[in-house]
Amino acid sequence: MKQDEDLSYRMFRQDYYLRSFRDYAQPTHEKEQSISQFRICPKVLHIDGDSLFLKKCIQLYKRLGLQVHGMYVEEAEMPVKVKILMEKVQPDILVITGHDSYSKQKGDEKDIRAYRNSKYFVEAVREARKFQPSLDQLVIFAGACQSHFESIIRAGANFASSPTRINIHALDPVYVVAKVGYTPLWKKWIFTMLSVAQ
Amino acid sequence: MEKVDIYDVVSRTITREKGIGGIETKGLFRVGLPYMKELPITNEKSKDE
Repeated sequence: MKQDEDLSYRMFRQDYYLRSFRDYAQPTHEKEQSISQFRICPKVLHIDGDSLFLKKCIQLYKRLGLQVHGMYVEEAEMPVKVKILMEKVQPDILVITGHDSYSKQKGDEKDIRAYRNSKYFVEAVREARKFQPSLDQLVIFAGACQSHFESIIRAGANFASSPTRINIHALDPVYVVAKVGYTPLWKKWIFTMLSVAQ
Repeated sequence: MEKVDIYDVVSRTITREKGIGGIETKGLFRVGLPYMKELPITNEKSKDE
């Protein structure tokens, strides 16, 4: 498992560095070359139902250089607390995760009541979407191990887990968020084309 | 506008498409000018370092 984590981390770094080299390789304007840029990455609010995993995730966020506010909240309280936290932090990316499981005894795979915490995740996503309805203004990742993927996506999350009801890795949400956070808002070639047109 | 390549996202996680799924999303990373010391820093080094 440690090896998998390292692999994923390495792949991410590789991707990010390649991208930054590619961008540097094409200065869009002669004047621009002399001015150095600063880069701003989005604010992340991470709400977790497990304080140990939260700690681990925050370490990785820091390693990847993301701005993060982590909060330990019990799954059942998430729908209530998500609005207060969002007003306080004003995040660009919201991560809702914790523990979840599907039990066959309780019902069919389609029935959300057969899942331990999926209903709270869905409710929390709905609350967050009430606050910020646009899918572009706020990116939401929700879900945990064996969560009901379909209803979380339908509630308005951009990313969710888990389509085949397997146990996801605790750090997977962090990689997804990092990828979103480091994808540039604009493609560089648009600027290149504009400066050529001038 | 650059979208986040979902295939790319999924292939970079540990449990892959079996564990994570999503919809097309806009990238959120912004570049600004000029660079000064107190400005928000990411883990990337500035150009002249």
